[in-house]
Amino acid sequence: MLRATETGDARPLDPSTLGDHVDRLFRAAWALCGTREDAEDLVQETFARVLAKPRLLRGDDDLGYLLRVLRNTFVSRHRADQRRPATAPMPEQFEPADPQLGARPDAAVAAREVFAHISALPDLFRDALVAVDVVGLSYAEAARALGTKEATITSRLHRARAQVARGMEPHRESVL
Amino acid sequence: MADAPTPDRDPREDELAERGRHLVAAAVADTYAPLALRERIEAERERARRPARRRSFAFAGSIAAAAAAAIVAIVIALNGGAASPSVLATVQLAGGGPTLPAPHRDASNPKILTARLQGVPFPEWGPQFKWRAAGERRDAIAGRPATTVYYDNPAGARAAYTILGGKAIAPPEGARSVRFGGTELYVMRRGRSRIVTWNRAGHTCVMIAPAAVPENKLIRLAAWDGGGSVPF
Repeated sequence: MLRATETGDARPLDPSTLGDHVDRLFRAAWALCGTREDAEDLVQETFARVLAKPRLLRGDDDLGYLLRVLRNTFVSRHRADQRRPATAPMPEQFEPADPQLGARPDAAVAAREVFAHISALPDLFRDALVAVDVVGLSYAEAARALGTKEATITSRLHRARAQVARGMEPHRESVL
Repeated sequence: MADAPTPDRDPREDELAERGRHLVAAAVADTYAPLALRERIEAERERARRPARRRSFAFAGSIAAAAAAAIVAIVIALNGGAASPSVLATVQLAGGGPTLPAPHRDASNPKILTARLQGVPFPEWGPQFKWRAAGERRDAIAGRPATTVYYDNPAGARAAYTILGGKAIAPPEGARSVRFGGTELYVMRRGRSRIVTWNRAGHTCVMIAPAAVPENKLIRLAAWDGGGSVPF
């Protein structure tokens, strides 16, 4: 689990500003889950948790806080899923075109593959990459959110990026 | 974001990491939260604003049962509030499939089809969304005319779009309200189907499609007015 921010004065989280972070959290959720459908459910559950009661934050890092809740929700769901019997996933080939990506199907396919590769990374690498490259936190914010040192974030991020590129290599060769 | 230099890096790894950074950046730049998710979050926020009743996450678990109840509500509403043998006919209305050829594009307005009910035309989604009219059927439900146009998309999904004659009926209980482009729609899921209902020119429209079709896609289709060429 991720640590809470420990510095600064407490202030209430303003629910009206949460909408500003939906895109970033959706990307982070997709990178954690590996599929758009699961990502949507994860983000909704995250917001439901956050909105369930007034939240007091320390510091001004709303996004870092939301990422922590998202990550913790993901871990909880993952544990719960492991206790349930497995069900067959929906066939990928029947995924209709996304209206936002319909004009660029190649980009849609590439994005889907990139997120799938990120989700398959070892947890520590994945979390660093999600925090910095996907959500856009600074190294310091990511280190705070993940409860580690900036130097560790740098190292994990470097390896995570390399693994994603390596994972995408067969795809790149196959389409050329 | 530039990386801080770290010692003892393999140049090949550096190159891979840089490529990975670009791949992730491109994927992130092309990815936005779908409309349906935004609406779901807005609904969560609305629920959180209501002080009286405690929300229950059990709601999420019982969504299937609620959707099933909702479709029954639709059917009962379509029949004037009384359950009757025609309920079954109503449930099976769209499932019956087309009985007439696909309507053509209207010669005077390329954003609509020639099919219409009580002056309300069906939209032509082909050029804009690649959903093409595949057939039509006409029925009567509890004394009201109902026309259905079937649309197919390139992925093989079929949507059945029904316009019900007469006054608009109340939205089904249990359906979730969504507002898009000035149009209020009600969405629900029933088993493997997704259902959207909304009003156009005082008439109720109902669209049923496979659940694999994203909700935001159905909402965009339903609320599309062709830049004002499709009357609402």
